[in-house]
Amino acid sequence: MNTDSADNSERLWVFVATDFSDTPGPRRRDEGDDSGEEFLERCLAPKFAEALKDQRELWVDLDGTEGYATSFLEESFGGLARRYGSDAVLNTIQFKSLDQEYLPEEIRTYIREAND
Amino acid sequence: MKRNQTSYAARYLTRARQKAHQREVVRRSRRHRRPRGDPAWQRRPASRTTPAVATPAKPPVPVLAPESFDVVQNPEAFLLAFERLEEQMRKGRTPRLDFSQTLAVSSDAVLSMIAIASQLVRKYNVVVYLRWPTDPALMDVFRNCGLETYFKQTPPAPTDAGLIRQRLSKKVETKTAQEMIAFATQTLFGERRKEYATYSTFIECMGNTFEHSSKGGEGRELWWASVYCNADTGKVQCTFVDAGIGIFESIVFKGLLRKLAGGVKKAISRPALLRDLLERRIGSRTGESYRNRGMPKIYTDAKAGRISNLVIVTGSVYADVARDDFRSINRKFPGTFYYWEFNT
Repeated sequence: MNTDSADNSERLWVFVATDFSDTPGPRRRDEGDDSGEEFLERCLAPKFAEALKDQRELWVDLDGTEGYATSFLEESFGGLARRYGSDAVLNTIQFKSLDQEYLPEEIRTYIREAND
Repeated sequence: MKRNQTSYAARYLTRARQKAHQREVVRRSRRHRRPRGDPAWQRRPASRTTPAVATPAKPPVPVLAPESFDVVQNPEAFLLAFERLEEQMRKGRTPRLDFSQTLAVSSDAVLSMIAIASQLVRKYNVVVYLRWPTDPALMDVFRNCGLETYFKQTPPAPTDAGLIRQRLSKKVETKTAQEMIAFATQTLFGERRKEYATYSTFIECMGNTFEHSSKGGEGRELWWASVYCNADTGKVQCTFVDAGIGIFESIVFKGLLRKLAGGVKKAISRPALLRDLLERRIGSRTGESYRNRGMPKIYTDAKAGRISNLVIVTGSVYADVARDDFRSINRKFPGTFYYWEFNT
């Protein structure tokens, strides 16, 4: 992870494993704990709003968890796109995922198709 | 006169009952004073004693388990045995699943047996007996899969090679998935490893059971999951079974069993329908097009090699994804069955 202070001033970070949970769960709150819906409400949406307001990048660190169900990712990132629009989300959010390198592109697909 | 006679009879009967009761009390007190070896104990008619363990009025009816007790390799023979079991239970008889002729047992069959037998016992309120195989090696497979501990403890303790878990709450249990993967990797590889695709597959399966497996609402159906460390192949065998209505009943229920090509309805076979579902050519039953990604994700992970040997059985459809074998079978699985392997 690049923690250079010059880059940090332009970036906000969300660390899923430490800021939210190392066992991301199902789609909705009523399905179980650590849901995509809860992650969106508690972590992702507030940071995204801040990033938008300050015109900064929002980096999401996906490493350190047990894994992600597709329903979790779609509800959180797709849900964000349904709120703010796919273009705004794609232009603002970046991903770090060394454990599962295919994840960022998968999530971008969910963001693009969120309003279909 | 008649009234007096009736009253006299009533009083007589009441007195007679009282005397009989008193005689019984005395007899019981004398019985307790006699030593256990006293022959007087033996003279007591058996019908007047209460047996310690209730025995069935008739012996259990044997139902032979197949030689290869394996859902992945032998689904029809496996399901036929449970159809015969259910037939006996429907007639009010107590069945006994007989493994005396069985030559091979797989972990996926053990978990499926637990799931299906549990459903049948709930439905018919009849106990299922088991006759174990005579081969000690086969008995070890049952034991290592966790069958004995499943009946003895809640939650069942892990064995040297296997761990079985059943839904304990109405919700998706992320910690259960984490626990099973931790146990399997520690047991087979000697260290705790993360298995991202297996974790996401377990969560998707639990989520599908929660959302789609019942016509009566969400969170109603049970699921069972297991991991089994096969030292011979060096792979972890994962099985997930739910007791729901099956994938096709879910689709039909929402009225989505329809495929339009140029506005013309086409009849589709169920194996083709399952393939379409896995390749995301069928919309979500909830009507939201951005959904319906769970099963396609499992399929994608299998195609990418992140999980291997994925087999899905639902209703009368059997799908071996690795061999691209999607076909109908002559029996019906009561729920949905997923099997896959991993070796990090």
